[in-house]
Amino acid sequence: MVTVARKITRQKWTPRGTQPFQRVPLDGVTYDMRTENHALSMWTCDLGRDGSVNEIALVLAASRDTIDRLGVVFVEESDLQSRGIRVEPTSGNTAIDHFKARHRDAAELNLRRYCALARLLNDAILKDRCRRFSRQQIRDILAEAVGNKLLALDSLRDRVRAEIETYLASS
Amino acid sequence: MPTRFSLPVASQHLPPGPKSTRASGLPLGTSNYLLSEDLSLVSSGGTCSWDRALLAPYLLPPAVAPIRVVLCYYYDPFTADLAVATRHEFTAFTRQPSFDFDDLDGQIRHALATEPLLDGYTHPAEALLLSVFRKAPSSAADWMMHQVAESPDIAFAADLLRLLSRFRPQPTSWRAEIVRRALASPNLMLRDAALQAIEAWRDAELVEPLRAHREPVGWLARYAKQVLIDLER
Repeated sequence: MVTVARKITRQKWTPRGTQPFQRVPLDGVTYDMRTENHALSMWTCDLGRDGSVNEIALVLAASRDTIDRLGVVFVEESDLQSRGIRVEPTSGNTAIDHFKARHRDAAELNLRRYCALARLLNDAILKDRCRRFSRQQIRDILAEAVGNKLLALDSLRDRVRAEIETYLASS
Repeated sequence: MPTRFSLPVASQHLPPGPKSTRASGLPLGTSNYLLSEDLSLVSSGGTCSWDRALLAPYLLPPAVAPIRVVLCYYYDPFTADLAVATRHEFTAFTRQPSFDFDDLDGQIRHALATEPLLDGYTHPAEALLLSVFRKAPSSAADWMMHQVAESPDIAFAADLLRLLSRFRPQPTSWRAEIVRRALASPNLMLRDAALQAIEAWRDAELVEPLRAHREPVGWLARYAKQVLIDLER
């Protein structure tokens, strides 16, 4: 079974009520489900393998402006497909070459599929199929990747690079 | 803060701009002029002479360099090819002793509505908040504390605290106090913002309020525990 991960801002997915129309918090949708070319970016991961979730955090954190906490939610690729959502392998935008192939697009979304996807993400969040990394954990993951030469320091944004340089120098 | 002015200006003050055909009367362009303290021209897209007496009534004292003047120029549709400025709008930035917090509130709300505040990404509202804390720290601190402790708009207060955590405002004791008040909120978003501030500021004084906090929501309680572990490392 293939699992895909999507970055989320978990506090925005707090339910507002018990009515069916309130079930999917719209703040969460508008924050975390911004499509591009009618597709939503995701990354595959293997929840049964040690380190796989950290790799997702690494890929997502390495492209940010600053080191900060990071939330991700996990859904099964087959659940997307069973709702008519096409999951398409595309080259991921990451400085780590061998992670590029792990990128997926939930592609060709229309309003019906988009709503189905929002419900899937919300259900996964309600079932606690998510993980939030603290700022310190993100710093550790980035520093380790740089230390192991998995990630080039130069590929990081200025503020992230400066913080990792300082962190590595002091540890 | 920017103040907008409208005043009639004689045609000799018109800067070089796009040549008008028989113009529509709509604004055809905007030029930015940077004036020095004595109002002489420092830089512009072309040449332009300025009459100090013309501008002076519109500048708030003390006029501190630089002053940016945004000039919108219009063409009179009834005047053949001769371009005539019918309205100039000046935006003069002067150093103000205090801030208009209603205006700041509006600007930050607008920035947040335009672009979501995402962890790990810079946001235009950061600069607005940082600027007011640099220029009027005491008033800014009072305003911010009021937002977190008393504002009925919790989502906005939480976003403000998340923005605030991106720099280190005020002394540690003030930071500890605002975190304490946010953690005491019945609203999850504000408590979550407090945790983000704690992990960003990493002050030793913040460990105690965090340790004393009893988080009722499971996933946030686990996160608070992780932040505490990080701080105690």
